Amino acid sequence: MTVILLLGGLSMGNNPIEFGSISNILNVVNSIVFIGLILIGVYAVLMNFRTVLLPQRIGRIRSFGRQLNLDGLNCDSGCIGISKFSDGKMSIPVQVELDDNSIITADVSPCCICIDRLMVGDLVGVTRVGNRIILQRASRIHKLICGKNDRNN
Amino acid sequence: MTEIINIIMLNPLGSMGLLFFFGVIIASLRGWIPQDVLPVQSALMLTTLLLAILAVLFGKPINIKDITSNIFLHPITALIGGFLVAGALEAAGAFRAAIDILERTSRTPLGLPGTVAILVNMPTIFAMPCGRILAAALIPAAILFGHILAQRRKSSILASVVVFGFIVNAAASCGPSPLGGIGMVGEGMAGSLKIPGIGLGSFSNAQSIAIMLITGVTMLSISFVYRILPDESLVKAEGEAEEKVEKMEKIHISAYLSLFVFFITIAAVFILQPPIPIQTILVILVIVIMVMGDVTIQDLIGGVILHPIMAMISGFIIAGALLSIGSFDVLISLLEFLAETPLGYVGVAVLMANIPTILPMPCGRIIGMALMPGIFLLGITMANSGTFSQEVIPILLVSFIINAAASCGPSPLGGIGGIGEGNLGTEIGVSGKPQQVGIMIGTGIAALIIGVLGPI
Repeated sequence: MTVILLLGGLSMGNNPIEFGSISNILNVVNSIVFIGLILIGVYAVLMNFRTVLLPQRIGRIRSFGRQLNLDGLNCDSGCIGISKFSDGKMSIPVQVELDDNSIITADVSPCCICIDRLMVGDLVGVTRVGNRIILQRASRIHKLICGKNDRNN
Repeated sequence: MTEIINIIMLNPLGSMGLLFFFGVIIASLRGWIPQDVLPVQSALMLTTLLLAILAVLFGKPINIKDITSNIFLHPITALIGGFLVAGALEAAGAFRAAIDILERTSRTPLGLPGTVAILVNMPTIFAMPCGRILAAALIPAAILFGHILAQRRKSSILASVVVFGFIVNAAASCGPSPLGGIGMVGEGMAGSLKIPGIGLGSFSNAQSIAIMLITGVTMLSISFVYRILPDESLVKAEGEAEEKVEKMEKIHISAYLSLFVFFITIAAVFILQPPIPIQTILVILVIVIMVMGDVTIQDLIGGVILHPIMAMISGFIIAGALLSIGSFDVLISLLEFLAETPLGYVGVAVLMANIPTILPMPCGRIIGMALMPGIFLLGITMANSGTFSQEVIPILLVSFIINAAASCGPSPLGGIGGIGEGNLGTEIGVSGKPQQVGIMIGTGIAALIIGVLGPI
């Protein structure tokens, strides 16, 4: 918080902060918000790099949804039928089989599902961020390390 | 032909930049650049690097300040703020509350058709910073209502009509969003020219009305022209599953309150236009929802979807590089040449405004941000030609923005349309054409609204 306040103060540039007027206080608040949002963005980008490049575990998608459902193995559309699994949430739960054969539930963003064309059998990286387990398509490096092709069940 | 060669020879570096940019876009769309190897955003970053090297070879090195000065932080921070609001609303259960309200509405005199009309327009009413937020959150409701409507009217195509109407509405909803929507960049550009009436939210209403028309036209063309029939067994099974789930879940009062506070705040921003940056209002809104809905900081971070942010930044960066090496000057010269053909300035403007849907990217922010300076310059050129007034600039910008925003719906590179296709069990890419028809008509309507009524 101190850093944000300091950056907020610095962002005022040549205008010395005069707390006497409301507009100046508002300017400080706006600057703090602005810089705080940039810091959150930087944090989110760093976390994204971490989940892509240095995931805690590597696994394969076994099925989409809160429950392990092997019927989903036939899905080959690239953009799965998410309606069964989305319960008013903007992330999709996915069942991932880790390298020790254990199954966990991870969350994936709808952008990753469609743009990254995630399918059952894909190699993915999972990372715990706070109380959520986030899933990302594994990078090429991981695929080379694992020595396996995608969708190789 | 000689004139085109002259334009290219006058600025070979700028011409090469333009060629590489459109080359990468077309190669990605045609599948010549495999997206699982090199996504279009990364390809554009590599193009920027290549252009920087070429600029050095041509003796005109790109100043890094030229690129960074083109990364506008306000829309990016507003977008991050918007995602935090979305994360807070999701965690507070506001989207589930919205589904519940829709279900209750269907039992009022509005009935099922009235409820479906509200449902398909829900993404534009919420106006989230990325259409995929509501596409993911409310698609169960779209499937459920589509299934019920198809069952009652004994016409299975109605399920497709409802789902794809909802999908195209969601795709376009990031245009008028006050939470860091694409429109904000255009409003800022046009506002810099001190055109009367142009400011934050001045493009929103025209875009929202156009989106309703896009939705309607897409639904009509699916029903009467393209006849996209769903896999009935799939829709029935999903509809029944959703019915059971919805009946079991209980929604807390704080979810409804969060939804109410969100709508009141967004309405107040548009009506009162407070002299406070939207980012500050969004952060206050997030704090209020956090307190009401017992939402944690981690829930908020979980709401930040990076794809649109990265798409926006990659668009800004390639635009900065193209500006720096004079590619937009080449583009404007080429367009001026085209304007002397029977196409005229109006034809050129129509072509440019529809470029995002002709070359649909997985996120409209990519081509939106990359080409917006070119569209802005074209608007200025048209205004200076003596034939058009200064109002042509916002007209051109708003039509380009709505087209860009909606273009992620029909994109074959993982567009939102894929969500509908996956759920309905239809052929992949089948919803592209009806969406494109709707978007092109909506683009014209948005231009007409701004042209006739001004920024409303």
